Amino acid sequence: MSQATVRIPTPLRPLTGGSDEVAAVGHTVGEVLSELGGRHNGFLDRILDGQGKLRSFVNVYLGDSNVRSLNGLDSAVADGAVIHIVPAVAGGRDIPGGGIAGDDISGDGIPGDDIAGETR
Amino acid sequence: MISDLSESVTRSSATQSSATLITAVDAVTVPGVAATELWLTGVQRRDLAYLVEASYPFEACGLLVGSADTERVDVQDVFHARNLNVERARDRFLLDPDDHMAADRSARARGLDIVGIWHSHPDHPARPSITDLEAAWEGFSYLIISTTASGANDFRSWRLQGGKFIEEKIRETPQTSSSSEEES
Repeated sequence: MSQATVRIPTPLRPLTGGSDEVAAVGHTVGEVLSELGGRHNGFLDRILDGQGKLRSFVNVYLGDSNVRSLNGLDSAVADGAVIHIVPAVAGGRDIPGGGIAGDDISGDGIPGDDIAGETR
Repeated sequence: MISDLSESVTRSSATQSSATLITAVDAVTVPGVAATELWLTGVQRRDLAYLVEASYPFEACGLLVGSADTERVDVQDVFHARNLNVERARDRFLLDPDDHMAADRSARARGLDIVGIWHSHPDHPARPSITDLEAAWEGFSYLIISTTASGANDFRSWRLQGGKFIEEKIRETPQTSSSSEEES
């Protein structure tokens, strides 16, 4: 069993009692995250989907490597390893009228005007 | 490659950008939701203007590094990241997670955190889109910069709280003697 340090991004710190770094044990990345999730309610649900797979909007790094380029959650963890959880960040402007990218805008009928303050 | 703009852009002509400087905006007031403020220096705002103008008509994106509490977010550094969504770079961005990692390491080494995300809306208002909402995380500031062929024209910052985007005020960090020397 290896002990690893898991670095927690700002959005997930409410689930680790505010800690930005947490120690956890396991042979693989998946085991380390599961062990951590067992101690912090709700944490694992943000990382893994219902099938126990890594959610598409979360990246997990083992050292310098994204585990998706390694062996995924089965990637072996060495003692002293550092695991980074990195939220996927994406977005972009809406396209007026559902047109193609690059459409000019006039400021009228802006989808974004309807977003702020509205319930998702 | 990720860029530490506090060094690279300050030496460039970016500081001479004619982009409109932002002023404080009124946040949407929501009962029971604490308002936050995003604090940027004048140099950081000019760096950001330079980056979004250089990327126009494509979206630019990056990370804000600094410190935050329940009332204010203080930005110490602005990082530029690669947009991996090359096919739809005019209206979408996917921030390169490798750049995110590099910024996070740099931040932690200095006792700081990633406190927000910035991106541009070419020819579009600086308001969150449906796409922005779907991909947003609570706990980050989302700084959106509207830009046109004439330059960056509006800066607004938002935070996701309870599934809603709440606008936060943008304030200008008072200039210190050291930052004054850096800018000159």
